Amino acid sequence: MNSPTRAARALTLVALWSLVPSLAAGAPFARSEGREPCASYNPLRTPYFGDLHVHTALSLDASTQGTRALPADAYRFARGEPLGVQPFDADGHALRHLRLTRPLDFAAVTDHAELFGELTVCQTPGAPGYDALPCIIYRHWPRLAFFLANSQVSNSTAPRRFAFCGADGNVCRTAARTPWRVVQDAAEGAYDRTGACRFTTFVGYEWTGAPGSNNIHRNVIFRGDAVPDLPVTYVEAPRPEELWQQLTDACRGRPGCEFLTIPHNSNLSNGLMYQTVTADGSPITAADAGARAAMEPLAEVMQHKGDSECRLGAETTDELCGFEKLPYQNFQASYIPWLAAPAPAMSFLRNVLKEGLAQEERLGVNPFKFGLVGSTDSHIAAAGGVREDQFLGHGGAGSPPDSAAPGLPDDIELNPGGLAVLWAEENSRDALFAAMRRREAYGTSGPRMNVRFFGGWDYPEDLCTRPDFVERGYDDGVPMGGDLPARPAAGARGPTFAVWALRDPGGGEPTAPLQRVQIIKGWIENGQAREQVYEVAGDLNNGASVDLASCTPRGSGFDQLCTVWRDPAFDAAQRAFYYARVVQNPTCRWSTYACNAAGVDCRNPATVPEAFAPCCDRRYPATVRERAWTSPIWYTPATERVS
Amino acid sequence: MLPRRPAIHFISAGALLFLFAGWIGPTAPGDGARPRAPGVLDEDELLYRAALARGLDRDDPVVQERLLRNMRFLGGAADPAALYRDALALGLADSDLVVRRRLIDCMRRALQEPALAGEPSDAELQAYLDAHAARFATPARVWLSQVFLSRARRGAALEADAQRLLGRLGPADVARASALGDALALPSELRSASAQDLARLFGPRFATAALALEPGRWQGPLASPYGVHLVWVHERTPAALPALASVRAEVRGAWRDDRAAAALRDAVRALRDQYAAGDGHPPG
Repeated sequence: MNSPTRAARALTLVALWSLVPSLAAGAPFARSEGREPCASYNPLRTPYFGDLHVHTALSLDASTQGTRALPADAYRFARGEPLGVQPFDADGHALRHLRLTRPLDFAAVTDHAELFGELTVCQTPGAPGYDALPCIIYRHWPRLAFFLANSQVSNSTAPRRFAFCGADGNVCRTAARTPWRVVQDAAEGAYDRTGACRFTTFVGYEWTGAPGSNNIHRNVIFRGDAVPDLPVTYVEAPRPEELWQQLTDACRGRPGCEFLTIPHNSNLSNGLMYQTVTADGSPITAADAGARAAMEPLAEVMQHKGDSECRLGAETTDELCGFEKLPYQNFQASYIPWLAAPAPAMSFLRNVLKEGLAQEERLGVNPFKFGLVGSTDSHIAAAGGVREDQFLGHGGAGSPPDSAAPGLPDDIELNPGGLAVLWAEENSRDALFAAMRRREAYGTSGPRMNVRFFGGWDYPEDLCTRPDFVERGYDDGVPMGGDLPARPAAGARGPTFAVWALRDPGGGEPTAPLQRVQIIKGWIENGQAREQVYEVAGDLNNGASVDLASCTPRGSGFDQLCTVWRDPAFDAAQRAFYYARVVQNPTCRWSTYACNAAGVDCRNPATVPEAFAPCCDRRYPATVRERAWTSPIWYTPATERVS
Repeated sequence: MLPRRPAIHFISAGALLFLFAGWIGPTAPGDGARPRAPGVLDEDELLYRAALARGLDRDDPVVQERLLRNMRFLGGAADPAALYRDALALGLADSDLVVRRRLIDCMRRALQEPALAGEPSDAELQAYLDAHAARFATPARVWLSQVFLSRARRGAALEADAQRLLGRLGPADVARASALGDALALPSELRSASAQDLARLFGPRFATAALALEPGRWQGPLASPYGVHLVWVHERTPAALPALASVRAEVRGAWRDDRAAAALRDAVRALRDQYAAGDGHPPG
């Protein structure tokens, strides 16, 4: 009986061989799929740039705005091919086009699952015929219709299937099968399984819940091609805990079926994205906290519908929080201006990270332990379409891009969105998914800066001049997203952080040098959440500016910034987190490019047509300081560390 | 009590909406208001009419139920069949965006379906792969080592320093490239890098230049946004067309997408001709 033994030995060898590069990296990722290994493999990891939030014509709020591109088109666009953008002429030819000057490394199409059967807007609890009105109104006032339609299902606190879905909802679920198949086929078709590893896709969808019009949307991202028969939607699972539980159940018995969820637009949640109570109002338990942290390792810090990092006045005096802020707190208030109010503190991720520390103090488990990424939330299938100077609008909650009317391409308060960056050994699903899980990720507001961020106890001051910066970073500490190692017994000095930021190296589009690097610390002191922004590298007052008429940058900046910073106010008894923010020199905001192109000069009202009046709304700046946010590194006092 | 007369309800609702629309003022055109030549139906409109002509609405539970519900709101007979007839007669399908989108999508799928019925043969896929070599080709790759000199650190002396160092470097320096020059948080050796891999880290100019270097000697300096690089190429691998087996899924997906798009294009053209011949009426 030799052959089984030999086969077993061969299998063992293959298994061992496949572990070799992984072990060299110190944090192996298991291969769960059939594919060629990547020719380009770096055990010290490479930053891969992508978009984890993209809608196509499969989303009703995209197709009703004239979007025709399907998931396969979104992926082709992400890989560098041109995309036809509405409006279309009578022969079906797009009248506008968009093309990335640099392809993305990865993307996930995340269409609204609730709309897969195109049923969402049909629900009308207790209001006979109310459902018909939005669609009629739509022809006259599309944005109001969008709001009304959403309020019927996605915004409901108790969503139900419609009567016509059958007693058990089977009719509607069957209707959803075809689009879900389209999503999976497109992801498979565009995934490069050769050793070239040019492009990675993820099967995904958006769980679209907005109880009371407060946004608690989450994108579900699957590790590989093993996925449930149908997405779990807001209708079946109206709370995040139910979403995780039902997805876990649906994945049971399917090898390789793994997922994570990424909340977005906490800035529109009216403080409800991250709740510390359960459905019955009781405080969350340690088990609840653990489940949440496990299911949601990342959060979308910035996208089309604004920045969710922080808001000046909401527990902070950080002036750089004044960046891509929305002037309303939820969807409803975006349509009905007199309901608008400043978003509460818990709508912003920095405050949520602090609340996570407070919860950890109470429970021993941090429920809000997430890293940061950006994405677009494009509703015209323009994955990674983040250029300020070529913005056509992203639709969805923004202005319908179908319009041939003059004016700005999108609502003035919106923006082209950002990117997700993942540090991985290679560009494959397993490697990228592992990066998401361990939070070794960062978000940018569009540019492709390269940012390393390590935390440890004793990085040498001259680390930035050493050739082994990255090796030492990993060997003597942890990368972004990690927990500081146990504090050495000897010495009472604070932790050190090594950050190295390289400017966007460009690729056929305007880029800007860096201005500065900051480290943001949040901690709990005597039960109170505190924060401090430290300037650690660069020059706050480098005098850089922009000529607004031509959008030409003025002044100089930095091609790279590196420093080793030690927390000067460290208290070993206080739990804390630290993340880095890398800030570019100012550049023109998209609205300035569009207003200039239309010949608008706000000093001369005669040059400002009514459709371009938002150009001169002084609440919105003419320039932006594009930026990157790293995932945090956490410190937990020694006596409470859980191994 | 209001009379249960659909037409009265409908006209009243319409009048209210008309006033409402007037009150809110002119707005962006919605679905169906795209620019088009006079007398020419746009693709969506064509597909929508064709779907009605084919009776797709009668087969689709979503459309049916939605129209019935709209009709019940307006009042009318208890008999679903009569309700449904009334709904169609009143043009409710036209005014309901969900029904419209649903029918357009169903029609699109129906027109594409025949093209996707059969599986392509390996010969067909191979022909497709050959015809789209640029899209599927394995990119050219390079194995290189690089020594970096920082612009920030050396300023005006950068170019002279690079030339001086280039003159001193020899084959023995390849193994210790990372210890030479200035520190940079980018790899000093890339084993198998494509233009995309190089551009991601060093920018597009560096990528193009590095892929053109001859192996076996120190060359440069090559510029990046961070400074200059002296480069040793160990090995170059030219671009190549992969075997069908390793890209089958990708090629099959692209083949099907193209087939479906072509089928849709042809079908829409045929529909347009039929409509033109029928003076704007749905083809029989």
